[in-house]
Amino acid sequence: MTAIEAVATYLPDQRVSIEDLAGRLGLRPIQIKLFRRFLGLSQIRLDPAGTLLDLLLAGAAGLDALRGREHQVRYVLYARTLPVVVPYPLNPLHELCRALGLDRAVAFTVTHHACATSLLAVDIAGRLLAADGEPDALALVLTGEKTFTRDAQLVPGTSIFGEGAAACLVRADGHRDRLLSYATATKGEFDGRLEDLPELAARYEQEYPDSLAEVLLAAVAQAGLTLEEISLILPHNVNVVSWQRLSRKIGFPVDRVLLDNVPVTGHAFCADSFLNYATARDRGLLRPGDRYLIAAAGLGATFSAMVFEH
Amino acid sequence: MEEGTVTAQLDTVLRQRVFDSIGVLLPKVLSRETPAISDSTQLMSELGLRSATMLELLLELEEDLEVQIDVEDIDQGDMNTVGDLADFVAAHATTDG
Repeated sequence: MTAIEAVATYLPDQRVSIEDLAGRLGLRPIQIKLFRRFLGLSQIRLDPAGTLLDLLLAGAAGLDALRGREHQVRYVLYARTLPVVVPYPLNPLHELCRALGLDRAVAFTVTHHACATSLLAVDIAGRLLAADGEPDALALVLTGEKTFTRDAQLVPGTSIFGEGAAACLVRADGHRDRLLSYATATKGEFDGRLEDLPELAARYEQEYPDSLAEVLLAAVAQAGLTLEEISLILPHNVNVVSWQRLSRKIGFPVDRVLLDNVPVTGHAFCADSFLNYATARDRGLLRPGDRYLIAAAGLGATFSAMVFEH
Repeated sequence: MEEGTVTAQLDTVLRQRVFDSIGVLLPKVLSRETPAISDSTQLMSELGLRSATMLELLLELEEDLEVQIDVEDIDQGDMNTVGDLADFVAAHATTDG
């Protein structure tokens, strides 16, 4: 059964308030107020001078469990929201593998689930390792993206993206954080740039809560559990209000949805799941045996949820 | 007069102010002229409001009416029609200061 062995995270030092981003993003004062007051965002982290490789390396730097075991890493999966992040033929993933001594690993990018891709990558990593049948083999899942265009900085009226990175070591089996279930639904009818397609955007908004609720409940049911047995939800950090509404919708206490990072990091693409995991771990919010949900939604649109046992 | 009756009357007055203010603010929030509204006017399908513009409208209402609106409990059902929204705001508004 797929298990997470270790997670390391990184946030750039530079904190940028949404007021300071307003000019670049074309936000009016009332939109800034909307982000702060209702959506719960107040700042993001950025490393304007740093490259994507810098960001990913920083994410992996704290992964002590990797040291000395580089030869055990069979797969390196870069999970990302955006389909294109560097011009051809650059490939920071291969540079990263060389820098970390992971030359023998098969390295590839996982995408097209947008901000839900990190869950897909964990699932793929676990299944590849299980198929290989080597008990000591590891896979490394990396997340982290640069906010290099306006579309990579802002979902109007919904969220602001920030930079952050995470590295997650996966095993085919283990006792630390065992994957109990994975539910995902891709609804291609929502593919398109929502800012240009108001009717599509309206339909997406309307169906978003039901679609996300369905995969959350499906993942819980697949794990053979009830929602009452879930101790914590680790969400994607899109905004606060959508999670407040979703919590009410499914009857889950909102104080057990870890939203503390939303005002601190903004939406750090696929890294959110691991940033929130690290926060929960470091604050002692997860006790041995606790079952928790990791949930994410990606534009395009994919809705995903995983249940883990800590 | 009993206390509950006074509250009900105050709510009715506030609700009418909210309704009037929605009519004034909609063109500003949507950046275009809007048709005359009634309680049954659909905010999304008729007027074209979306989640973000709905929240902008609430912020504009707060400023215009000098109230604070507690939005934590707002649900889709509170945002279907102008009447639904006016009811919600009147029930969840507190006076500044």
